[in-house]
Amino acid sequence: MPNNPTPLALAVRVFPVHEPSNKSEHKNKKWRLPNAMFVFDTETRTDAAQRLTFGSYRFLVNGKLKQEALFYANDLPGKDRKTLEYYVADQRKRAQKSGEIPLLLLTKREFLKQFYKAVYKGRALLVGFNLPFDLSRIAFASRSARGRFAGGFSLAPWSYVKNGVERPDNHRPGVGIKHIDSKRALKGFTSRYRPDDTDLIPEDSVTGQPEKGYKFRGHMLDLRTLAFALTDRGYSLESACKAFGVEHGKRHVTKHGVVTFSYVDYNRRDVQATSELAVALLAEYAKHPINLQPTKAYSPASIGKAYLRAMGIVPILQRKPEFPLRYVGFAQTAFFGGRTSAHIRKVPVPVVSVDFLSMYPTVNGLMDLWKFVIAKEIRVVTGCQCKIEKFLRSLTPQALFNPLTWRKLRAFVKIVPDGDLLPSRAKYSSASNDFQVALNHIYAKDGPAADGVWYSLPDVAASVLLTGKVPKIVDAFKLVPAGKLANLKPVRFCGQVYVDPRTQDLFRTVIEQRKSKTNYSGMTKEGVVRLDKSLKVFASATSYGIYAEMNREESEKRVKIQCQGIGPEPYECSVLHPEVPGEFCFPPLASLITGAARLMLALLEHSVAKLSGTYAMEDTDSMAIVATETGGFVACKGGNLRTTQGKEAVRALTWKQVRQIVSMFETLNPYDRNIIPGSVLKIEDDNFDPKTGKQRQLHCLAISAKRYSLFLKSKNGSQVLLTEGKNNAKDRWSRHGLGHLLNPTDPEAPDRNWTRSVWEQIVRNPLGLP
Amino acid sequence: MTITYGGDPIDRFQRRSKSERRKGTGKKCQCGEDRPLALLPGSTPTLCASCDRLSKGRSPVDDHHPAGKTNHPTTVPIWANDHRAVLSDAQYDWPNETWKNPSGTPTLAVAAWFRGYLETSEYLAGDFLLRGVRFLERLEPFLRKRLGANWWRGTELEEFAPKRKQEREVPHAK
Repeated sequence: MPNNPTPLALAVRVFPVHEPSNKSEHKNKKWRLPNAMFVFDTETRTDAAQRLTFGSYRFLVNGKLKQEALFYANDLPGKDRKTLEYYVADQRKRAQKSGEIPLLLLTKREFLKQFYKAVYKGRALLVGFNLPFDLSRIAFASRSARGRFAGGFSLAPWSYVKNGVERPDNHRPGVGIKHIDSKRALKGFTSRYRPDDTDLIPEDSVTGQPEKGYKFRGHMLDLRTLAFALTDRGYSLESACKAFGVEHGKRHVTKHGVVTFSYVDYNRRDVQATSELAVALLAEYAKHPINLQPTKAYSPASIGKAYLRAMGIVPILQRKPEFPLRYVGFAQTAFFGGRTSAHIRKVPVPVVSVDFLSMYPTVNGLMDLWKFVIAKEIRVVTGCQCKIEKFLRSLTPQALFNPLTWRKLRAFVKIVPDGDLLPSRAKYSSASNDFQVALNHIYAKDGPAADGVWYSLPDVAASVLLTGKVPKIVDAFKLVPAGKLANLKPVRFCGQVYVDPRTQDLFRTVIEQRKSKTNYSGMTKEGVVRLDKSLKVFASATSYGIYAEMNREESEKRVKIQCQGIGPEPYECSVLHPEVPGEFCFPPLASLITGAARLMLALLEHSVAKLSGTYAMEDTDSMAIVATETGGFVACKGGNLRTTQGKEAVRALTWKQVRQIVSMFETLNPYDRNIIPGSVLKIEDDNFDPKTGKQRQLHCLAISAKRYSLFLKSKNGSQVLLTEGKNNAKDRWSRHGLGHLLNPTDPEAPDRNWTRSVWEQIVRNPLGLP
Repeated sequence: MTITYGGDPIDRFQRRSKSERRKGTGKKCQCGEDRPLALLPGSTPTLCASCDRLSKGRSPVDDHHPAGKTNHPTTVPIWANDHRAVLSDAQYDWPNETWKNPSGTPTLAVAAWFRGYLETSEYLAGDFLLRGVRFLERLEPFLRKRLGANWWRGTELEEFAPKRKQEREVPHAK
């Protein structure tokens, strides 16, 4: 033990014990897409309050426009109202000649009446782009939500006036909104006083009889969320229209907030674009043979889970509710995310950037975890610490380049750390006072074995690899799949790619199918791009996240829950925001997958270090290895070597050495070599000039984990950031941690290009440029 | 069959959506009737209005007031299911003032007559004429299959066959 290790309390994740939910049963209910759509959009003042000025809606039945109207805020100035009246009169004149649907002009109250009839009483599909914003603009009042939307808002769109005072109308439903993140929000109608009998008839009712207590939540489709769920990308209305080939895309207007004819045109066009985008997205969504309402497709993981259900895959903890939860708890305490660090901080160094091909599906394939997903049951084998210790004692880097070794890693060990290099969650900074994960040499407190901590075997293998020392193991268990689920059935992914869960490893198959050209024959270029993206999104959604999914619940007061953690017995604790495991949550898989990905990076680190090299940063599946064409010393403050001038330095590998390391990982390719030949470690395209195809010298400046920039150097030594469309296929500066900030020079500007200027400045300083 | 002369499409959608919901998914009468408005909500087994009347020994035909009761007493006998699902439904799309005509104004009464006539004649045209069209178009392939391509030649029906210009000989090209 070193003389003065810093004593820190480690935190571990624990598994909250909940009764198995019957959510899957609900999700198996058939849902019919309503044949009518109510699409609306609002315009607001440009001040901070962003109050409603006017808006418009389109009501479509079976894709045909049946009604279109403008509506305006109660407090819209008379001049602006006149503009709207003239606009509508003008349009109606034109409509008489052209046979278009005549435009209506409604007050906000009249609009809300139509909204209520169509969306609540008629149960039409409510469509919008960033729907929560527009819903909040038409609301009369809001308050903090309770119950299902606790932590969010409850909006009251409908009101009535009594004695000159406007009040929320309790005979109408409210709208509950709870944001999950910037792209997703839970939305739904809340209950109302004395609902009619027809409002109490559930959607899928066979009898047509009202059910006491039923609440119709609405069919609210936010296209921003659906586009994200389909592509794992955030879109604006404009970019979504472009991406999905909408005929009448978004237009621009010179000035916002002032009611003019062109501004009304702009708003109507937005609604038209939104309705066409809805048709395009729903058509794209319909290609997926899954039983999931598009209004509930919140993320690619939602779609991924629906596919697993379509294949007849029952969540592991549901298929065997008596699975001993203590092992789930042990595995949960061993759970950490991807390995990410800034290894050389604030010093620009020349690098070669490398990354692993589909890291999580790859390690899934190597460990053969698909067998667990389709297993009839998963058995826990205990008392195997001696075997595991023996395995670790014989572990060499060469052994880890043998794919068969990875199948032996499906285990967890409890160790008493003594300088082992392991991930740990602690309050490393007293300034930030929050828990961060770091890879550190951990020492247990002197004393009884109670200080043992659970780790996934891949994490311990990584420690053995990097320290050459086998830790003291006090307990261990391994997982073994047994049998196959009975009702597994094949699906045709996107109606195109056939996957049979009984005979194919889904994780491997999806990646292979992405690379296989046979699926794309006869498809349009856009179709190929979309299918490829869908496969990519599906692979990453189902290969890791859903096994780690925990959903935070809001409650108004502390609740008592049972948890499984390091100890074998559950314990009770009281929390304000209890977490509920997601439908497919199974921490042993999640911990093994991320653990194996960290081991893969450790193996890469070891391979680099063996050649006396080092790296600037690493992030989950990628690394920037310090390297130049000819290799040698590179000045680097804090480096443990010295240049001939006596400056602190690190050794740069040659490009050839990096290529040799890359080729070493070829043995770990779990895919069909005819489809995906070569190594799973790739030299990224960023390293090559897009015009000449020749390798170029990249430089990296990392300032903290996940915050780094890759750049070139011009002849005069100044930085040239890798920029999409200019000198690279994509921007290569990190936007991590900047998402909540507005453009400092123009807060109204929606684009994020200002982050480039920030990075330009960050990079210039260490380069000694003004 | 849907008849609409104006009216708010949102009202219409709401009405249909509600009746669809009340019907229950996949329900229909033993006679095959599955239009939600023609079925009796809550009936077990599911019954349509016409079958319900027949089972009670009553006439399956309703007296429909084409212009609305308040505007004109004339009635037309209409199959109960169609009365509910087509003609009464169409009247819900009328402006309330015209349908109910609370003040008894003659202008709105005349408007109601016209609306009633339009809808009823469209219903009859749809019921009689379109049905006849469909019948003839299906009969033709049936006869051709049974009696040959020129099945009408030499029969009394030949007089209804369209007259064609005689093909002229085309002079040889030089």
